[in-house]
Amino acid sequence: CGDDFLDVNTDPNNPLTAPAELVFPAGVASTASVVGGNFAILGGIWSQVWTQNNGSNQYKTYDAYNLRPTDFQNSWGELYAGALNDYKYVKEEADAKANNNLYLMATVMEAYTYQVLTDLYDQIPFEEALQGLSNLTPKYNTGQEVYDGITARVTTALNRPTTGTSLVGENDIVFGGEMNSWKQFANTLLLKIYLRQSEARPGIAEAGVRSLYTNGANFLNTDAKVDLFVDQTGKRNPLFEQDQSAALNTNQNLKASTTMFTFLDANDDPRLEAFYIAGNAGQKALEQGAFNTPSTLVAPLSVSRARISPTAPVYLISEAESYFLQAEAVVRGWGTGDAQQLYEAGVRASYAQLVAEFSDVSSVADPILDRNGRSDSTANAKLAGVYAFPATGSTADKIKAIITQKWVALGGSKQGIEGYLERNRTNIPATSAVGRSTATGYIPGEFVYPVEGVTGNGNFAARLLTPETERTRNPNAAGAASKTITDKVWWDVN
Amino acid sequence: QDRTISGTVIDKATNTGLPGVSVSVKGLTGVGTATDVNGGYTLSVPAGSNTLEFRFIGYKTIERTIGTESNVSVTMDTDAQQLGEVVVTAMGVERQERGLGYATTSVKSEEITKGRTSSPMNALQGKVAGMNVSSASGSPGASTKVILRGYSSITGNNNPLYVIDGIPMNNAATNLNEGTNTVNRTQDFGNRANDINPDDIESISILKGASATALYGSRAASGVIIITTKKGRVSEKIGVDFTTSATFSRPLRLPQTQQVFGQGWNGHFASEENGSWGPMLDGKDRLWGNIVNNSQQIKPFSAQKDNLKDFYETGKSYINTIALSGGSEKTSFYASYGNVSENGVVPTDADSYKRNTLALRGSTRGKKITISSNLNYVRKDAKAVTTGQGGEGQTLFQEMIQIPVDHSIVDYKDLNNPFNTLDNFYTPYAQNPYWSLTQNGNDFDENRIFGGVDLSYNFTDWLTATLRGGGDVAHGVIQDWIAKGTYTPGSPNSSNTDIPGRVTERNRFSRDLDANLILTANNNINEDLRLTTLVGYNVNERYARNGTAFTNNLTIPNFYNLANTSVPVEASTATSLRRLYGVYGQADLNFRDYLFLTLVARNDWSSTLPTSDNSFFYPGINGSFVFTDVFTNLKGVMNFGKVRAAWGKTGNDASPYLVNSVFVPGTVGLGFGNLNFPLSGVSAYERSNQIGNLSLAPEITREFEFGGNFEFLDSRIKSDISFYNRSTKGQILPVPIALSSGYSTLVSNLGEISNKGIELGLTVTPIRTDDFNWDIRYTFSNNRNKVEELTEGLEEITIQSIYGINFVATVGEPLGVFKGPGYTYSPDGKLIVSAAGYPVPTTEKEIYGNSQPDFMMGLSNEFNYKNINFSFLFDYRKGGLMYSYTQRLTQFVGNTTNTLYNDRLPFVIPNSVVQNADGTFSENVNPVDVGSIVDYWNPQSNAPIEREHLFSRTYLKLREATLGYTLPADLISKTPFASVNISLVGRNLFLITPKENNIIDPETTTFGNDLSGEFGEFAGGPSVRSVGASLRVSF
Repeated sequence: CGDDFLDVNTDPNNPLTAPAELVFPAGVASTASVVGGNFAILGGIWSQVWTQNNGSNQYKTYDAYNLRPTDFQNSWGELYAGALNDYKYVKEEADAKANNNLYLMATVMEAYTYQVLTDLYDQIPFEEALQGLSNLTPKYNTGQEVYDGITARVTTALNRPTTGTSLVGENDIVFGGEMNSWKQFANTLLLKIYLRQSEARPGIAEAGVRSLYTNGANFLNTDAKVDLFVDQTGKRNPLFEQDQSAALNTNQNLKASTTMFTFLDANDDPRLEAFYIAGNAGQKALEQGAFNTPSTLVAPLSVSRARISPTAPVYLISEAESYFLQAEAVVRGWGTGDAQQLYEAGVRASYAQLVAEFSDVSSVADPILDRNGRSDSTANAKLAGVYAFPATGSTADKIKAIITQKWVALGGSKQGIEGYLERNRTNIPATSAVGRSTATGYIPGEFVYPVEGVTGNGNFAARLLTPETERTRNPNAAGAASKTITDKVWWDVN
Repeated sequence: QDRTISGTVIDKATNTGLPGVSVSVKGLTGVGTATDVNGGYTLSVPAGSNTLEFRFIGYKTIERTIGTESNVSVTMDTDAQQLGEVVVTAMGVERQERGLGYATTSVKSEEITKGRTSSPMNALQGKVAGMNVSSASGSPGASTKVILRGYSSITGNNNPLYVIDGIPMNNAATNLNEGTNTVNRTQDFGNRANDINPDDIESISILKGASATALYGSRAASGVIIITTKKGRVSEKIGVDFTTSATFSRPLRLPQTQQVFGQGWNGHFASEENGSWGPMLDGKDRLWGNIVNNSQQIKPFSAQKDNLKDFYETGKSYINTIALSGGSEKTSFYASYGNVSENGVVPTDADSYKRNTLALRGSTRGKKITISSNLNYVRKDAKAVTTGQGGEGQTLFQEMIQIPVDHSIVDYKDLNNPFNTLDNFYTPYAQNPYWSLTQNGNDFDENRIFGGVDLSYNFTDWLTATLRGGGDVAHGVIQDWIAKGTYTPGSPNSSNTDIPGRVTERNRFSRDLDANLILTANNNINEDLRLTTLVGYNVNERYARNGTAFTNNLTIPNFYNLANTSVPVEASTATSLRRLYGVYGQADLNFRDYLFLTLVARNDWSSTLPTSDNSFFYPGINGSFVFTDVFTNLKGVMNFGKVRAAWGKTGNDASPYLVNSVFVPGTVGLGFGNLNFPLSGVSAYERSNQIGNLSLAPEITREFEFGGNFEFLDSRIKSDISFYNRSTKGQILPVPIALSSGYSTLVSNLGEISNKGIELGLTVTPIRTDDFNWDIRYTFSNNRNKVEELTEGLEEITIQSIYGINFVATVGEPLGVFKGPGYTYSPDGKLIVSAAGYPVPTTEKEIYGNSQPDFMMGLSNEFNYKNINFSFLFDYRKGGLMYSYTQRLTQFVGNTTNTLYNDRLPFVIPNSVVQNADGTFSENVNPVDVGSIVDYWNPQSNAPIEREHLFSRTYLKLREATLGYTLPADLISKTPFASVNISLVGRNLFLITPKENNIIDPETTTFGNDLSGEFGEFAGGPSVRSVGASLRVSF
């Protein structure tokens, strides 16, 4: 027998190489599945849009801030090995072929993904990450270093000349190859990155925002979203697949939290119907973290549950979010424009998004009457009434209005994690002075410490725990691993 | 004048040529020869000599007067008085047991067929020291795990190589999921070693050590099981053997439930809860379940002690074999047809196994050429109950164990009863088990042909060439379906998601081919020293192709075809091809039949290794010394004594396609479910999370063993003892790496696993008279397994991770350590609890224990009185932990007996403290109240309670008991029958486990038949006890 006889070890099932254009969508899907899946569940609970049902178990540990290092280790893995490693390959290939379009796309997605990671974990591998065999135990960078790194990378990529539409075409599952939208996405992402530092490094935040405006940056006026899900096993919106499909034996885990529920209800906001599906006792909420309430006291099926669509897009940065970011930049005096117009555009975009997704929910699609049969409930009517922009108020008042509406909008687009991060930055919505959302004097929409929380009253979650896979396989994780769930990340200084 | 006499020596037992027989001329020293590999000889006989003497250890010596003929063939019969059986060793070489330098055990057909199990491997349970045989479940056709001398490979194959009549056999296990690390919808359709009809087996030789198996090189690190099938025998007429048996089975072990508290949660009755956390059972009538059409069911609130047991029916197993055989001195044939029909204890035929086997064997011998062939056909039709957790369709056992203890499960049976429908079943959290039993299902159908041809040519009286070629080709199809189910809006369970329905088809094709060219030479160097040598060349190819297609969203309910869908069918294929060639040789030196030395060596070239470095060398040496033949004055005490020692090296090849890094189709695993490309017409590929290795080598096992056989009191006490020390280096592992490197695993050779052990076999015959005989056989094995090293920076490797429990390889511990959350303690040793009142878990998981047994024993007693035979066999295992999801879920829903702790009254966790804000501790006075007791038992709120989901694997089983009666010869002499035997048989008649395990048979696994199977079980089914009768008739 010669060597030919033995030369049969080339894998016939998987290719040795693949075009970058085909690798890019796999990376985007990984980012979207984590941000729009596991993190959407966590974010919805932590931003008090949802709470764990008292008749089932799935997310008790999230709601009680009782996380273990094994929680979210798959999400971490999917982001590094699934998303970031693919973006790295795409960037290398794009560089080799001088494809600036693809380079920008991959860089933006990479920066977006790193920001999610560092916002949740603070210290993460960055400079030494993704080197495979050359470095199996990458060093950790601080959150500031990651922020500075991704800012520089996006800025560099933006400075490369790009053409109108990308050759990637249909493989661009975010914008269909539309490069102008990618530039807007890049700018909006930079705006988001700078604003997040408004409290920790106001100087850098201000300078960054100003430079964007000085350079005439365009921001998103459309959604940056992944929108190709169909109602079929393995092809659905990741949040739906994970939480609502038949794979899990109940779809009752995510219940309406009194926090968000009372805010929408008090303001007769028709979006409430798009947020929640009524239980068998009509629309009704459960207090945050009250999952140990005996079912004899509150029948689980009587409480409203999360409304989640199998075909809804995953929002990376929604149109509404873009407007709220710009409104804040203007209010702070770092950007130019009309803050009120931007704020109102944000609220309208949130309404429109929910109408588009839940057109079968009549009160959302046609909100002439609110759910209690009173008054005009359109976005315009609300903006003229309960949601009016405090044009004559202080900067703090304006920021409060913007961040509050942004919290609602992000809840509606299942971006609760971003809502929660923004609350950690701004303390908006505020923490209730009365402690319980069922107590007298509770102001609708104010945060309460979850009933079954294990971190001690008032100690809200501030980050995720370094995953067990890093703790056991990377000695450089030791520093980050010493942090607990209540240790604030670097930009969270309030 | 000299004349040349030639002929053949035939072994009466096997009707094949007997090699190595000493042929001499009586009265003349220095004139003699030995028979060749086929039993042939040629001898020059001086004139005037007319008697030949045929001598062979273990056989009765034959003297044969020669007349004028030049061809003298004789048939030799074993001599019960002589010691040392002939056993089949590597490459089919038959050798006297006394000449072997390593431990081996040969099990004869009678032992294999006695208990009437359709699985030849299950029949070996408890019978061989150093061989750990466990059956995955009591389901018909379930797979059997066979491990020799412990686990050596962390992620590679630890199953022995099976060789049947010289041809390596494919022992693939069939499961819909293939992977063993999954908990979703597992279906065990068995492994192929169980396909052989036990009634066709003549003997099974178990080669455990590296020296014994080195001739098989890269495939032999986990030992070799050599199966020799029955051949035709010399007889004047065609012999007919007919065996039939019928056995009946019932569950051996079902979860024992508490009988004190009934349906509900948090201490309250709740009609929709699937659990028994309700109030105390009071026997009073209570309404239960949903209100349907304005009516509700009523029943007494009392325990249904046998609600699980009543669900099961009696399993049935019928095994029939008819075999025809015959032969002359030149030719022989054997033909058999076997039929197995089994239907297990689960109602309906959801657990059924049908197997038809056909075996044809023949041989013919010419002057120089001998040709023999064997051909086996197997057809299996099986259905297996889905275990694990549901995914889109629920699974039977998982649904059963959550049912409140006061419910009668059989009352759910009628799915047309409005209270039992999907819409109205009492709970939205579980599904009527009869729905998954009767509406979901599967079908497995496999056709397999295996066998080979042997062609031998005698060049001279001492040199023979054998060409042996064969193969094993199988094609199986699994169809699995999940019924479409819809919930009517407004109905009690309408909050549940509709079940879209699913149909999956998997085609599995495998083709293993193997060829050997072997040259054998017998030389008598002088009268005292005999040399037998063989050299061989082997080519092996293994090819497999799996195609899977599935679709969801079935359009017509209860119609299962891939076309019956509203969405595209998803399909994938996986092909695997590997090739190997090797050259090998063996030299046996025999000095005066009491001193033996064997040298073996093999070199392999493998396709699965990097082409630049794919050659590996496996040597071995062993020797034995029958000292009682030299020190004959010992014979007063010890009538036989032999010491032996062996050293050898074997390998465990890499799997195909681990060398290169690849791209894989885009897919994202979500917490539940997946996101798979193509999506809306977009396809994607991503970098595989595994880094390939361009310098991969096989895992190398080195083993030293020594031992001896000692027999006393006219062989009424026989002992066989072995000590071994085995070390396996260069584990081929997808080593888990920090995912921040961009990858999750790196294929590497690293680390070392050692297995050290003692094996003892003891046979005692307390009574031996003409009419009555009592034999006691005892086996003991103790194996100490240890992970000696991994690699720098890698503390442990996770083999399996389910909920909070990790199953890992960690340095300094045996392979398969269970780790989970532990309790934390204050500096003065008190249990720390959180503000919520539950124990605070450790941040890092702590070691609970490992899965390895401390030791295993088998004890059999056999009594023969005239024509009556009575025997029974105990099988005992001590130690090791297992994980039980059945325990976890049964406990979670408040059905286990341990949840009766403190009568479910409020309690303060004893000796516990809470940590104050300033870091000091103060006594915990916060009780776990009635409503929170359920959370105390729930790892979501009390993580360390995970420990309760593991228990000891210790068991004592009455593995086999038989009572047989052979009709006296004078009674049947007037009938056409040559022999008639009637037996009563029982298997697994009882099981005793430590008190902590009142849930499941500790042999149970749903994780396949290798190391991951040691993890435990995930909603597995019950094991069974069986009793029945068998009839054997020959005529």
